[in-house]
Amino acid sequence: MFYIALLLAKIANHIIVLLHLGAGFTWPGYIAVSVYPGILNEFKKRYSTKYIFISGTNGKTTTAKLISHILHKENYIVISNKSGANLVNGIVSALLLETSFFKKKNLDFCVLEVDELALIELLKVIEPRVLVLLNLSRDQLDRYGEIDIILDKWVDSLRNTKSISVVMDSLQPEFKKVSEYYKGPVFYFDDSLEPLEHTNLVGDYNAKNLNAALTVCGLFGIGKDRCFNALSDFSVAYGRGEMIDYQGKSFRIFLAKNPSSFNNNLTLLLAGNLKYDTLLLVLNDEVRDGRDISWIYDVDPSLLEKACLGKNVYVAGTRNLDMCARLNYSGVDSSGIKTDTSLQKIVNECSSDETAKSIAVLPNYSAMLETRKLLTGKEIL
Amino acid sequence: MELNIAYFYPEQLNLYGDTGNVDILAYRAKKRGIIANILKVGLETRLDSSIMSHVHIVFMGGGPDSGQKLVYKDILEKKQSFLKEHVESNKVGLFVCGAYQLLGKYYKSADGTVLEGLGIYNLYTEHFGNHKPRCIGNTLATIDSSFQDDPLFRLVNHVGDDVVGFENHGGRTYLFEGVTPFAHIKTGYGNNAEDGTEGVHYKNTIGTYFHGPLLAANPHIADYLIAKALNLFDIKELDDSFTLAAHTAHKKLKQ
Repeated sequence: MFYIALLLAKIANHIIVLLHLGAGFTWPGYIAVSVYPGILNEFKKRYSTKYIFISGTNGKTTTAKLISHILHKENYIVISNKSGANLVNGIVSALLLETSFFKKKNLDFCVLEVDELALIELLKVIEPRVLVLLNLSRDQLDRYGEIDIILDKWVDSLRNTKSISVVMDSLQPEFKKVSEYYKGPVFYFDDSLEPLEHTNLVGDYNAKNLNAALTVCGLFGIGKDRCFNALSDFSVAYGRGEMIDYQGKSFRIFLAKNPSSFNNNLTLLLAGNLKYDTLLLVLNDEVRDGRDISWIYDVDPSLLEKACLGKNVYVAGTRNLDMCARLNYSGVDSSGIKTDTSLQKIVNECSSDETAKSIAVLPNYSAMLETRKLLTGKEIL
Repeated sequence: MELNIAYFYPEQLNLYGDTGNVDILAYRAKKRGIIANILKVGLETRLDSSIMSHVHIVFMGGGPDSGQKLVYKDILEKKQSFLKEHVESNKVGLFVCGAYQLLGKYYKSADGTVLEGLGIYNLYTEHFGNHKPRCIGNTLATIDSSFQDDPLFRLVNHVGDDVVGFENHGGRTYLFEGVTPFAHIKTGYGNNAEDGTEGVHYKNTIGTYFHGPLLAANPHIADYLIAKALNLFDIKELDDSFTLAAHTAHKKLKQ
C-alpha cells in the first residue's frame, strides 16, 4: 500500500511538473493520504531519521531554511518542506517526493516547518527529536481562532511525552504555560542581535529566527562558529526579503501576512539601510490568507504613514480598496496612491514609472506567491 | 470643538482590528477641525461621574476569552453604573462582538453556565457548542429604518442604506420583543442566523457583530456617530473615494 501511495504521489507530481500546474504541490500528499491514510506512520517506520519541527506564527520558513542549510553543510542528509507547504498534505508531499522508490535513502534529518494547527495532528503520528516554538501572535482569526486556544492545544499535545527537546522563545510570555506543563527538556533562545552580524540576514526580527536555529544546531553538537561558517552562502527564503529584477527595476519582496510581520517589515524599511523609492502593497483575501482582512487595522498606523511618506505608493490585490482606505486612515495622502485589483496592471504601471527604481513589495501570503510568479515567470509551489 | 472618546479596555479587548473604529472616529473628527481626545479606560482606571460627563462616545470591542474574563469582573464591580448612565442618558456608544454580548441580559455557554450581563440591552446570547456552526464570513445588511427616521442620519448619509463587514462569533444573540436591531441581514448570519436581524440600535448606541472594522468601509455610520455625539448639523463632507469604493466592492464579496 505504501508503494501504491508513493507511486500515485510521484505520478501526480510528474503531471504537475509537466503541465506547469505549480500551485499543486500539496496534491501528491493529498492523493497519497487519500489512498493510504496511514502513510505518515509508514514513512516514520521505514526511515530512521531525526525529525525537527518548527512552528509558530512568523519565521517558520526562514528558521527551517537556516537549520537545513547548516545541517546540509555539515554533510548530513537532510530533507525539508522547502516550498513552504506546511499543512499535513504538503508535508507528506515533501517527504514522499524526496525519497527514492527502490533504494532506501539514508536520511539523517527531516526539517519540517509546520503550521500551528497542523502541528497538533502531526505530533499524534511523529515524535520529533526537537520542536521549535517561535512565537504566537494574531493571525487569521477566522481559521486559527484565538492564540490562547492554539496554546492550550499545543500544551495538550505535549502532555504524554518527555522526550522532545522543546526550543522556544524566552521572551514570549505565553510560552510560560508550555514550560509549566511540559515535563521534558526545554531550551531557550532570545533576541540578541550580535549573531546577526555574522550572517547576511537583514532585519532585527530575524535575530530570533537565527538564535533559534543556532540553539537547535547546538543540540546536535554544531557550535556557533561552524554555523556562521555554514551560513556564509545562505540566501533568504522566497518572499522573505528576496530580491528580483524585473524589467530593469529591482523588486524586493517582504511577506507581510499579519500585523506582527507587517510591523516588522515596516520597521525594517524605516531603519534606512534598505533604499526604496516605491512601496507596493498587495492584499488578497483567499481562504489561505484568511478571508477577514480587518487585521490591517492592527498594523501600526504611524509606521504605515512614515513608510509611505515621500514614496510612490501602489496598491493591488483582491482587497486593494480596503488597503487604500486603511492607508488613507493612517494619514497617507490618498491622491498619491495608484491602485487596481489586478496585480499585473499595477506591476506594469510600476515598471513604466520612471521614478520607481527600487520597489519594496509587502504582500500577504497568496499575494506573495502571485507577485513572485509574475516577476520570475515561475511558481514556487 | 472637541470630541472625547472613551475606549474601554484597549489592552484586553482588541481583537479583529476593532481598534480601527476609534482611529477612524478620531481621523474623521480631525479632518473637520475637531480635536479628538481618546481616553483609554483600563482595569486600573478609576472612573467618576465628572470624567464620564465629558465623554461623548464610548467604544468597546471583543477579545480573547482570557481578556474577557479579566474585564468581566472589573466591569461588573467598577464600571457598570457609568456605562449604564452613559447609554441611558442618550449618549453615543459603539459596542462590537464580545462587548455587544456583555451589554445584554445574559450569556449562556454551551455547558449551560449562565453569565449575567450588564442588562443595558434587552437581549441575550446563547452558545450552542458543536450543535451549531460558528458564524464566520463577509456580511451585507440594510440599516434599520430607525436610523432613517433621524434627520441627522439622513443629513450625513452619502453612502446608502447598506452596511458591510465581517462577522466571526460562536454565540447567537436573540432580541427580546420590541427591541430594534441595528440592521437586517442580506448576506451573512447576523445575530443568530435565524431571524435576519443584526445587532441592536438602542437610544444612541449601536451593538453589532460586524468587524472590518465596522467603520472602515461604512463612513456614514462613522459620521453619524460623530454628528450625534456633538449634535452637529453642519458636517463637512470628506474625500471618501476609497472608503466608498471599498463599500461598493464589499457588497459583491462572497459570504
